[in-house]
Amino acid sequence: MEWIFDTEEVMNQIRSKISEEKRTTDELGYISSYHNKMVKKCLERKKLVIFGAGVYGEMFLSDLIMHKADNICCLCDNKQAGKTVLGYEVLTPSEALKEYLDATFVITPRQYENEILEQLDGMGVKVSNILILTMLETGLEIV
Amino acid sequence: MTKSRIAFVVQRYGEDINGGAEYHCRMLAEHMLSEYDVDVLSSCAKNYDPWDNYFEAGESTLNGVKVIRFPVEMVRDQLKFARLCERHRKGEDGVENEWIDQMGPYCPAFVEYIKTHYRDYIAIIFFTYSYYLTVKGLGLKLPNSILLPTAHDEPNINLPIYKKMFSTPKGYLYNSYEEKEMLVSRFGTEGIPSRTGCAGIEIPDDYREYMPDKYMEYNGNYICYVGRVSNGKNYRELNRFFLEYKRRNPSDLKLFVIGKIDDRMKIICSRDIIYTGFVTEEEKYAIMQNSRLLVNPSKYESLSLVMLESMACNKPVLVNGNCAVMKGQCIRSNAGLYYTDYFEFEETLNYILNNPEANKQMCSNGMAFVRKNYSWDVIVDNVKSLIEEIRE
Repeated sequence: MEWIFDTEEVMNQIRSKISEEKRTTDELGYISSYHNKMVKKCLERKKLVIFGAGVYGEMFLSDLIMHKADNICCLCDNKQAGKTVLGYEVLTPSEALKEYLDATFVITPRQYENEILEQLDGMGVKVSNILILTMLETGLEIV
Repeated sequence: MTKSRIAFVVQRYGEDINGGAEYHCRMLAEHMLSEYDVDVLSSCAKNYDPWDNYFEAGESTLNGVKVIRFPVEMVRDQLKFARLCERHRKGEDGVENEWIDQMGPYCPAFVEYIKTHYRDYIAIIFFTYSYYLTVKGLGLKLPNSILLPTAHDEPNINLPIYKKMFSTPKGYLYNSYEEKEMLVSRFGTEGIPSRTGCAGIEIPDDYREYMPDKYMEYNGNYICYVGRVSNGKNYRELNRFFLEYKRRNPSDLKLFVIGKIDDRMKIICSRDIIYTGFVTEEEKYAIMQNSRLLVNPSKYESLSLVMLESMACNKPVLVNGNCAVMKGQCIRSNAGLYYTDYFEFEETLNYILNNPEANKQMCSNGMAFVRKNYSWDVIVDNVKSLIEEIRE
């Protein structure tokens, strides 16, 4: 019988082929060891909230998903609450804190790390529950 | 026999307007001339940042379409606008009107015109949900209004002013099933008559002979990106993925990039990436028709015309699977593959490049898909049937 191309069928074959191999960013040439350490740290935490629903937040989230992270609770953002990013809800920081009290907040925006750190500190998030991601050092960002 | 008259409402209108929705509106308006007399109601602006008064106010004709332009009476104050955005997002009462005036293009004369002339038209089709003309026009709750939202999942769509607006049109023209699904699930628009599919594609002639001489040396061994080179289009990721692909899969394959590079865009220069700069339409099609496939890394599209153009050029497509619309188009057409990370990018690209039989089927599937769903005859009939339905 004549073979008929089917996008979904081929995508399933491709996905299963990839998952048989080592599917981590470790082997990608543009990824830094700093990035791999950050991912490892994040995977070790019980609950994660990604602070920032912009380009960097989404980039890092997508990378954590690739690493099969199962501890991501949501994203939070001062301006973009209400939307979803890669299937995850974006809450306001206070909503996220209320919902996930003991979560680790990963700060992703590039220019406002200090302001966000102060904001989270002011809201009562423990310093040990805050990680700052320096996107420029990950290799994910091109400058 | 006298034809009935319809109107399109769009923020900017003209042949040299740089914008996907505006181009789409002009194409649709011109094609609807076969069935109706068509007016376009627009602002005098050519640019949106800030809105200007480039065109003369009043009536003119463009390719058979009567254009009525209204002056922009206020330039957006960016600082004020940003503050209003914040207050509006927080749900503060009483800022909606001020916010939409600032969003612009602020043309109160358009609102007055439409209040008194709406009966001149059997249907008024509002293009794009977000601007002043649409919000104010739909706010009049006209019995003949149709919204063509060009919407995708973005923060502003959740603002209170739009939530109210989405229940007011008498009909909807959706660009894709995914766009419809999003608006139905979020704003409950399922009870409003609608059609899906409102942009057409011309099947281009064979332009391969227009290939610029300087690119002949590549023998068609390249993949092609067509569109604005910007962060908004996720070009940066394609740049990174393609160079990684070349590192792991050494070959002569190139990436051709056709499109304007945004001023703020930082790109990596490489001998494997060819930036064509400005090309004519014929050259664009020649480059697409000579390529191995078209790649579109964008995450936010309510419809990717370039993806359909590639299918019409008999080429497979490779698109970002995080964009629901393009992924859906891929699955419905069986004319391409999609990726959500680097590893899928590599495997899907290799699959298309190395499977001639699959490649051949993808090409013919794409062409058939475009002919069936996106030829202008089909689109005009689709739009006409909605107009006639709401007229009843």
